[in-house]
Amino acid sequence: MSVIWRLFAVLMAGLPLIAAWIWWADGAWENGALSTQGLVWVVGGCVCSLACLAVKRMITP
Amino acid sequence: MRFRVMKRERKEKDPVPVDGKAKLLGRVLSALALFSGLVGIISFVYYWDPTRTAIKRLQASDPYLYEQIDPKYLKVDPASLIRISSPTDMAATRDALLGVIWNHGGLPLKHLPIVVRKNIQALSIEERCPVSISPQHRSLLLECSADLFSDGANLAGIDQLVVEFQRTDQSYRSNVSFFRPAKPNGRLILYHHGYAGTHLDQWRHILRWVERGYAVLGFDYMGYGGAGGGFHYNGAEYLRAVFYPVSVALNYALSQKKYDDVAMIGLSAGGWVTAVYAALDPRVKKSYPVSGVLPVYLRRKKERAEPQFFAPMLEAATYLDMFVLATSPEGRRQVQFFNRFDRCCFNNRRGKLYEEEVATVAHSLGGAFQVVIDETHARHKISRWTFEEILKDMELP
Repeated sequence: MSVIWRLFAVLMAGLPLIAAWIWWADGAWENGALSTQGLVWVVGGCVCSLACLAVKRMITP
Repeated sequence: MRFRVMKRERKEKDPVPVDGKAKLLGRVLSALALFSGLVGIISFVYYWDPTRTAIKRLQASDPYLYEQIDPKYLKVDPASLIRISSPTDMAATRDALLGVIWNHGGLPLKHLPIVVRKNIQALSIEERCPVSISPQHRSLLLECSADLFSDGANLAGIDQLVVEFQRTDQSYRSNVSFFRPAKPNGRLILYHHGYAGTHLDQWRHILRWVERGYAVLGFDYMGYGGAGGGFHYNGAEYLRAVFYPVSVALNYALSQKKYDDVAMIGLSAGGWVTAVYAALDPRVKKSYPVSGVLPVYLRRKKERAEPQFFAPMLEAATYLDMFVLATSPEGRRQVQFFNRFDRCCFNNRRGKLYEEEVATVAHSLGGAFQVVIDETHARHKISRWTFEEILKDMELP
């Protein structure tokens, strides 16, 4: 896996954590700086991306 | 190091063949990974307040939505819409307003809730939340969602007050939540939510208030959450039904304990309830409508809910009169908050157009009035910033 893909994977792992922290720390539900709907999309997108990378790594090491 | 060596050995012993199909699949998966990753990144940029605000400002098709003041609003002199200039005018205007809404009966200062369910959070979920309540309604009702508050610091208990408004052909019930602090600071907050949601959405704000020693009464707008089963707008009776639970729950709280100070906060339609109720009831010392009320001449299309335009009410008192009424008699004050980039309504800085005129009259009668614009986000909410500003103001003597 190239360096770029590794950096991308780190971003995909880190972004949901940052998003979840913002969602929780600044007030969940409608008060926070990141809405619940936003959190779902961020986490969903990044997890899908990581899953694709993992499968790719399994079939083409 | 040992791990790397083992990994190399494993690769050498058991190499995975990479044929054309695997290569193709790998490329498809790379594309999918990139696409999903972009969805994640774009969602973050779109939904996070600082970047969302920038996007909403760029997207605005109308310069008068957030950035500039429509010149047509500047043609109206706000001072001409304020008819109160003395304590006598103030008393007469309040009487006229009460007369229109309460049919000359005055505020129901002696009415109490028909049922008080003490310490509802102490009951088991089976006892307080009947299985007949559908899953989608459970999050809207205190009896099913009291666990949200289970970790609240300084929370002694939650009571549910059942308020019943009688009308000729049917009755309307509103369940009000009463959050009692273990170590009270002698102050009471009335929080009124608006359309499309319930006061339970603000559970974090409520917990923060309780943590600081405030007792909190939580209200839902008619037809939502604990105030379900309302009725269609029919003029003064509808308005009475909206304001009745506030008055009755406040009567109950004051009958239980003496409070040094009563503040009222409302979001959206709850902000409108806050502005009008503070004009009617001098027991509310401080009021904070958030993104919920503007004088008629400053309202845009989405800000024209029918009950807020009840003609006899507006003949008795203009909205600017009501803002003055909320600051008098002496020592009362109102601070109105608006989200400048609000995606929904009551956006821009329109509130600033009448601030000086209302504040001048309020000051001459011994009160105080202010308009504050929140520029930290682009949502229809009480932001953390507004929450802290309200808290600072509430804690003033």
